[in-house]
Amino acid sequence: MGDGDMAYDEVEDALLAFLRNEIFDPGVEIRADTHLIAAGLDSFSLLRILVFIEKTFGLRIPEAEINEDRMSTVKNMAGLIDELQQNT
Amino acid sequence: MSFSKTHKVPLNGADCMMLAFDHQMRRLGFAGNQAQIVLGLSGRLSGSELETRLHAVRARFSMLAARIKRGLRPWTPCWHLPSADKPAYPRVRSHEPGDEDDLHRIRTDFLNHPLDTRGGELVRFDLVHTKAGNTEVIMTWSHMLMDVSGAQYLLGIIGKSLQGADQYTQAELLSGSYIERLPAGARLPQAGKSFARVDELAACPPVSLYTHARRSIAPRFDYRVVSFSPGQTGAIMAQAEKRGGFLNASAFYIAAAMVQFYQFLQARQIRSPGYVVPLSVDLRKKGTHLPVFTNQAATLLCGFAPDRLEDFDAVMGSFKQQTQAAVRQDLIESNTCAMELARFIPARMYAAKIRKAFAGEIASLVFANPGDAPAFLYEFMGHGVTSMQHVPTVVVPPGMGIVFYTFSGCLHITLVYVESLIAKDEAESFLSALGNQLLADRKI
Repeated sequence: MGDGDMAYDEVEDALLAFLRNEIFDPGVEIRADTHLIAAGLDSFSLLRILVFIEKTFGLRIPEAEINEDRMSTVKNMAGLIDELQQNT
Repeated sequence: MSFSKTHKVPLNGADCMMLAFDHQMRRLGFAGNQAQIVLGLSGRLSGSELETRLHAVRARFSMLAARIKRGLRPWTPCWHLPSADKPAYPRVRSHEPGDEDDLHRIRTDFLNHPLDTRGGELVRFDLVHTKAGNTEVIMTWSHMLMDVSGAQYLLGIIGKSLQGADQYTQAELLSGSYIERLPAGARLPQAGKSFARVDELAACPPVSLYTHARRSIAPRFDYRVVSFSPGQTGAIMAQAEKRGGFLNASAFYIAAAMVQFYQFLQARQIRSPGYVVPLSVDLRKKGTHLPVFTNQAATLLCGFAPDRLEDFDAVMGSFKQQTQAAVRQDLIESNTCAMELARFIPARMYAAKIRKAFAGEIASLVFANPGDAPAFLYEFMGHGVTSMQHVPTVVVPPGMGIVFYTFSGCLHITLVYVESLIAKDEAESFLSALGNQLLADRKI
């Protein structure tokens, strides 16, 4: 983990806040384990999340990691960010 | 019909663009900027049943019979809502076609029949009763009132298939506009980025099929639909994910459509310095269809150099690169802000700005991907829905558009075009080649 990297909980909180405020309707309950595709996530929302991750955590998610396993819940995304932070 | 000064609803920038396109199409003799959703019901629905239901819905949503006016206060265009007396619209017409050819002819007649938008006709219903005892419900709506997401939701309310359909108020169906989320002071500077993008693409402007041949064109649309089996659809979706990336079927569809369109122009020996396709981005928050009576979409223009269009993967790569750059550069926000300017000047001036930059064009081809039909469209007024089609008209020029959507696990593609631009056989060949491309050249 490099200097300035966020802890896992902070990453999860930042992602949850972004999704709740910017992507999803307030009527949709978004938790760390909510299946985001089932909740209505579309391609442009996913792109916005990827750009948010770039700007907030300074990480570009490799294309091979952009798949249902990695991106379907906040928990999985936070795990991926944590892994990428460990490896940089 | 009388109007109260207090019953005004402003049009947003995207609505004004749709208004500009409507003016443009009517000026050229077309019916206007309208679209259809066609639901095939497994049973007979009578005109009087639907009229009774529409009467109840219309009583709650006066937007269904509103008229656009630009006044002194506010001087931006507004919907003027009718009072509670009897609006003449929406109306229901019933038809009994003879044979299959007759059915296609009357369907295209409906598509080309203008709505009386000045008189408040924003939605029209046609019921087609088949010999087998089934019914096609064709809802034609003006794009000035709402986009396809709004239209689907309205069908869910009318069809009583939407949970809570009879509880929503008109105010709820109008609330939650995207532009309200953007800071007012930042809108004008943001708009500049969108115009810069248009200027960038204008270096290699598109040439549409319509502009190339417009001297001999009759103002009438025709369309063809190709449908895929669940197995074929599964294969296409697997290809889309493998080659276009996760949740990015649009990249796969656009690449296939543009490669086919390029080959079509090549066969006609039409040279275009550039190819531009507009990508519509739904601005609603995810997990809601609100607001309904409005266009909540931004448009990202994607450009392709002709030499790229010979390679499917190169088109897809370029598309992905352009959409990623657009999100990084906030082009969705800036396009929304640019369209807001259309509220303050006559909307046709905004459309003219783009046409001027593109030497009279807007795009090479119009593209839409409304995706999966929502669950509430599988039932309508107690009848099961066995089929669904999207059939829009397309702004002219380009006068040609393509829509990808899925219903009941099957992908469908509608190709809509100005009738005398493309022969029926050519349209079918285009769709067949497109299908082969999507299935990675496996026979369909």
